Amino acid sequence: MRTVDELRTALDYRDAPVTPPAGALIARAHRRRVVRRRTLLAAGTAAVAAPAVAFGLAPVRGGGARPAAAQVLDRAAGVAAGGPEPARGGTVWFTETGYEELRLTTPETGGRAFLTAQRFTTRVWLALPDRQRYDQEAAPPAVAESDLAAWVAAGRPPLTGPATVTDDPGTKDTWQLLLDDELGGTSADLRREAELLGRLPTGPAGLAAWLRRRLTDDSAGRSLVQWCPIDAGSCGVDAKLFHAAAALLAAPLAEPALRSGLFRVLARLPGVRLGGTTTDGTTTDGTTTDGAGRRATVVSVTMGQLRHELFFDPDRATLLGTRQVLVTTPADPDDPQWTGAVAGTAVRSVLYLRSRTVSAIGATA
Amino acid sequence: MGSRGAAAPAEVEFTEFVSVHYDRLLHIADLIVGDRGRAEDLLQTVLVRTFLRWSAIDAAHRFGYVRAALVRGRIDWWRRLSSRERPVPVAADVHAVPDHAGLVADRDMVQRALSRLTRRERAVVVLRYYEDLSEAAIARELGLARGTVKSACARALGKLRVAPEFAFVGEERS
Repeated sequence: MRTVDELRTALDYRDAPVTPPAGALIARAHRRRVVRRRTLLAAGTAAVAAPAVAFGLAPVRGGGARPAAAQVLDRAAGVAAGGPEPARGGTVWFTETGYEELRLTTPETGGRAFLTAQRFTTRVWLALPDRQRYDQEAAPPAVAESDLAAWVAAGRPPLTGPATVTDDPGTKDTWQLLLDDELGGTSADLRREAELLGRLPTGPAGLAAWLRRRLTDDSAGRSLVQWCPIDAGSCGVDAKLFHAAAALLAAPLAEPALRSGLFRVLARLPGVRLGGTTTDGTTTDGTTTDGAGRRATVVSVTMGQLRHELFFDPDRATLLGTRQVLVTTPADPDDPQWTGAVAGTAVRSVLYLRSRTVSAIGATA
Repeated sequence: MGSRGAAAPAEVEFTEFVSVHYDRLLHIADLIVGDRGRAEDLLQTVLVRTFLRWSAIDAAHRFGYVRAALVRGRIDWWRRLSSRERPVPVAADVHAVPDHAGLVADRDMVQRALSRLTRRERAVVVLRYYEDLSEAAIARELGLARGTVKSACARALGKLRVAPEFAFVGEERS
């Protein structure tokens, strides 16, 4: 490239044309509006119910997790409070995460999208106070069994997903924020993120209120992008809070008091129950095996068509993973998102595999 | 979608807006994100949010609003541990595009060159040389100091000048 005009020409490469999906976007926006109205209605109902509680007319079921789940989570909060100190300045903290997602992938040449699964291994080094590096190893997307015949019939069009990447931005230009996935626009760099974690409230009420404010902030440029893999009704604010708590629990910079507070927030979150598959949390102690074969306690909350699951080590109160599982087979003809995916399918799973201090950026042992 | 009778004015306006601007916005998102599927994710999520706030956004600034949301979302899509809702656009008349391989090659070449930039540099380059915004306008859109935009732009151009992908473009088109 010799001139900026050549750059302009290069950037203006031709794309394969698509028909804008305005109708589908409007339909989705209407569904989201309905959810928002329901949320407001629920909030209004709660406000009306509050005086009734004062007069001894408490509802049959109060807020918060099911008793068995609350008990286990409160116990984990106690363990977390006495847990190890977080990563400190002068140390390099290494984490390794396994991640798999199910999604529709459109061939480069356009046409019908196919349901695919793609696995990633992400390695992150945090050299406190302000340096970081990310490596992401991506396996090629694999067409899901349910869509394989259609993909073969279409001539096996090439499907690509996010690629293997190494990103070593040093201390500058680090736009990606460790917590931005769940909290959106939380901070600007690692140093500020550490500062934020240090001043978050640790009491469950204050922490939950802070998280709710953050997660419901719709102002432009903040949490515009949502992570929900399906309809908005499956990812209400309680589900977002559930995942935000998981993201904070996974942060190596979180103090024991904050980690303890997060377990207490989960213990007070409506609808949280022990176990990932049972309908009544009181019938199980929530013990299971996670995707890496580790003994774990699982708690879950179901919203809409998704069950959101969180796996943790009950002895050390450390996060082991999260999953989102379809509880119904989506049947909305306007929503092609999960064509062929049936109830019980995990659409997104994260496994926290390793977390330790290492000698230098790039070292894993 | 289902039938809802006569479309509300906002729906009509939004549909027209999307029809007119979708391709350009998707191109911007593609340049910013570097992955077509993720770019569609980002754009469509931003458009849904935009529709929900439609009446509150000045009609003259709707394109800028969506563009700002795209570049200020500050979401690194390859690293995001998530997937999200995505209405899938219907492929238009594929016969209108005789050379898909050529399109893919052009796109890949540009994306490989852009991948040499930081995310901030990438956004600045896209806004400066694809959207033809001034440095002051970019500074406002990204919430940066003008000097930061200028230096990011200079750094990015320096990297692109020596990028082998663009060296090839220069030789071929000169």
